[in-house]
Amino acid sequence: MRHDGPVAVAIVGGESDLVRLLARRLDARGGTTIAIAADTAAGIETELRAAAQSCGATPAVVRIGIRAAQTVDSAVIATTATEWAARAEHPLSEAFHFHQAAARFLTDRGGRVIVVLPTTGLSGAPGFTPLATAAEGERSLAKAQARISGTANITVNCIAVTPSVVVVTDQEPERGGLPAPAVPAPDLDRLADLITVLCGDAFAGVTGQTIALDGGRWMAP
Amino acid sequence: MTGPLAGRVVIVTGAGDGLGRGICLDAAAKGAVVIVAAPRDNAATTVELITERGGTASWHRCDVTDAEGVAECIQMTVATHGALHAVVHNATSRHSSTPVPLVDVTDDEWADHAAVSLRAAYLLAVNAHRHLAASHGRYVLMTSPAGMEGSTTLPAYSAMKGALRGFTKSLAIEWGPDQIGVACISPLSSSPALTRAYEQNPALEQRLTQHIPIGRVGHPEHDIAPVVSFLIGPESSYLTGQTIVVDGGRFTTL
Repeated sequence: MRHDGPVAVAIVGGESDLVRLLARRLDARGGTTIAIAADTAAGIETELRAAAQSCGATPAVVRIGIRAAQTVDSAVIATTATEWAARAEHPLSEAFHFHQAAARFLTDRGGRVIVVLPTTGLSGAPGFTPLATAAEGERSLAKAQARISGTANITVNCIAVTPSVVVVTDQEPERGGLPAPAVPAPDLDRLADLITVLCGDAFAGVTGQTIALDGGRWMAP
Repeated sequence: MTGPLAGRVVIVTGAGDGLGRGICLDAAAKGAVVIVAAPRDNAATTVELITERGGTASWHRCDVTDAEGVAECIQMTVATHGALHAVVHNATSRHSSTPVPLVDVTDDEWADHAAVSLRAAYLLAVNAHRHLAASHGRYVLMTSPAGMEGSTTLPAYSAMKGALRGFTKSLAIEWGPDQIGVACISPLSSSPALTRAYEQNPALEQRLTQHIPIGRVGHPEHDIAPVVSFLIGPESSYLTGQTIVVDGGRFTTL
């Protein structure tokens, strides 16, 4: 990785298989990547501090903001209240706990927060309204946190990625109809590349932004 | 009462005061039958103000986080008036205007935000869908500048208002075949809380308005509500899935 010193990348959330594959790619790019298993604010913060002690490095904290359980194709009117809570409210609550933990952990040391979200929130997608709701909520939360933590030398940015890159699912939770330009399709390697770049010096002054890694499909304003 | 909304039956949540009341007053003045869905007694004042002006309104005491309460509100509305043409979800958590750093937001506060903004949006959708499909109606939700650009002082509120944008976009696509329009508004509106803040800190108004090209915070009834009335009326039939920014030109980067 190109930066002032070694970067420890802690990954929070996401499916374990995906996290393992992403960690392998980040390590291959010079990182020291650790998966955080906790999902409470206190638990995440504790694991982050333990990871920082073992790595002794400038940290980047990455959250994967999508789970396979959210990628169920179901109209809102066919979605039960329990399913709604599990696919929309609970993931957003996890994001809240993540940002609390990341802010507490990074306040005295600075660092990078990178949130990987599905493009579903940018465009909306029929059948995946709870997922889009949680994703856009987390994107706004990231913007708020970017504004709050800039003085602590913490940047907060989002990568909106084609969902199938970060979750294995039978049904791509994306709106259909608009083809991507003919550039290379997004995959885990390109996601690792982008995370690496966001950790580097070139992005020290970039915060509160959303970069779409979707082959140019949505081009959101 | 005659007007562009004559004969349309509209439920407005969070309509006890502030922007919700302004939306009710304008919609009623334009002919709508307004159901004021709110949990507290100030909803009665909204109804009184409407009836004093010759409009038609009734109060349904409703906690929008309660599934049975929302279902009953919509059932009663349709049973009484024969149809439902629009739902405006304006209610927000009582914590919405209380500045709290993210690290100090409690789980209970977060849960209240999520219940009033998101679960209520879901409950209203599930219960209103078939009636809105029958009337080719509208579902209008309130986002906020905080949801568009983040807020340093209101991070939980930012998250909820951003989430409602995601909800709006997806639901609009989902409900398009039923000819139901779904849109949200990002208003910069004065409120009782803002008025109190001005009284306590006279310099605040200047600080807030200096970045608004039009030079003032919008009036709920006269600046914001007419846009809501357009969205719930017959002339917005080809508008769906959008965020309409009504903020005097403050936010220009959508």
